[in-house]
Amino acid sequence: MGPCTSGSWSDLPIDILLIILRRLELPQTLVFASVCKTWRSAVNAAGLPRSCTPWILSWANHLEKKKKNKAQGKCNTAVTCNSYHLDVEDSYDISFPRDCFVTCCGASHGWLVLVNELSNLVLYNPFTTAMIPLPPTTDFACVEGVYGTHGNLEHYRYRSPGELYAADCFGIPLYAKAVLSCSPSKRNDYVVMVIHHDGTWLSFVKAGQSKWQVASTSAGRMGGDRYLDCAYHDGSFYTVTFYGLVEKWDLDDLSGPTREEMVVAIPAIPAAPTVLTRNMVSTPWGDLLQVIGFRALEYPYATRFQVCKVDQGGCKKSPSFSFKICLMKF
Amino acid sequence: MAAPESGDGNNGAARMVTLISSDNTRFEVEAAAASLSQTLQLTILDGGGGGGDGIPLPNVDSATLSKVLEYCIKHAPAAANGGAPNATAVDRAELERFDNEFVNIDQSVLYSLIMAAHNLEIEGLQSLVAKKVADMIKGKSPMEIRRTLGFPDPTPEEQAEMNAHMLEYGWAYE
Repeated sequence: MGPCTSGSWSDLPIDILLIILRRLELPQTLVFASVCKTWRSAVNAAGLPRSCTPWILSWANHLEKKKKNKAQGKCNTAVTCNSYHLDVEDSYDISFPRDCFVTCCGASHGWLVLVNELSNLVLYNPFTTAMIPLPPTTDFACVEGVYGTHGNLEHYRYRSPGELYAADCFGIPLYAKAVLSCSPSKRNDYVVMVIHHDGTWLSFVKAGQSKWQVASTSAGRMGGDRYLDCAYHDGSFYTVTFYGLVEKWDLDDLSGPTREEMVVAIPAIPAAPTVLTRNMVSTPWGDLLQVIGFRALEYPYATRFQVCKVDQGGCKKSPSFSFKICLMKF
Repeated sequence: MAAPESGDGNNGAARMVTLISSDNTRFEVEAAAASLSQTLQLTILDGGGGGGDGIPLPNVDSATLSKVLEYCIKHAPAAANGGAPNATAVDRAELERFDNEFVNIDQSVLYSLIMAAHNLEIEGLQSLVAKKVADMIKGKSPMEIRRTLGFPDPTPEEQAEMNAHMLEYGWAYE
């Protein structure tokens, strides 16, 4: 009876569009914005961040919910995390498929590297919900799966000590950091590099391969050193160790992975400030930086950061420039 | 501003009000049901809508209004209970079943409904239809959404804008 002109959906008042938007998760929000001009402006008004700025993923709620569910004897359903954006105060929910999220140990090119409930790594794109499983944890030489009577994986153990670890918790301390060379959505020759076993092992897998390849089982020549971080920069993976050794990796050599020392390791000097963290950062303007966090003795509970540029071309010089930032931890 | 006697009138037979659609159809309905609309509630509290007067609703046609009132009548008892904290699980399940069936309708009716719910400020109905629309959107491409909701074919200019946006967020579409 009434004039129900079709296509009027594109003229919906922004208040209504915002109500609909609140019910959508991130990938659908992006699709929503593509539908028409009015819808796009609603998404912009709601504060959809641009894709080139960083996101922060937190899953504190997830752990609380999981505990609560366990206490109530409920089985696990899809997990919801909050992802925050630096420019806007909004947070977006991201759901993960059942059993696929215990923790996240890396994020590159819009993809997350998740540890699933069997302590295996999976690549997951929260925007498209695409998922790529990586070779299983049992693939590592020192890890053995222990199966229950029904043939289901229940525990893991390191071969030598023989202590059993629950299958769903094993991966949390096992994997320290995972990095992707490029987006699997865009190229099919991506490589995943993983720091694991307390930073003593470095392994990688190339797209389509079914086995992890070991790059290194010792971080440098100095005893007690370990890998702290890894970054992909200008076609190569770079790693940094606790003692400051920076290595560039060539994974394509037919005789196996080879490394080139970019910055030499310096053993801890008792008088020098205590190093807490080291991170590798590939910047959008083409620099490779090392960010070092020291305990700041001049302030209580503070960390001092030093940013050093890592020189290209095999240069083993000390940092070419550095500056200091003081951050207070609350 | 509220007329005190209208509050007392609830003790006897339910107070009725008349609503008049844009195409001049008159609907007689309990004041409690019509009061789910924030807009109408003010008028009704002021004593309007009774007797031969009726409340004209120039933005809502009769087909839509009868659908809106169907929702209001069904939800009025629960709303009167103040969100129904003491409603039984059976009552709640019945309302949920009603809601699901209620929005299982053509997109053009959904559009009229959400516009009416917005104009009349019926919060529950508005979020019910919004949820339905969100569900219809999920898992579809921009073009599929346009088709589902009866958008006209995009003009070349619109198509170019859509393509540009999809390119910017290419990783979200695979």
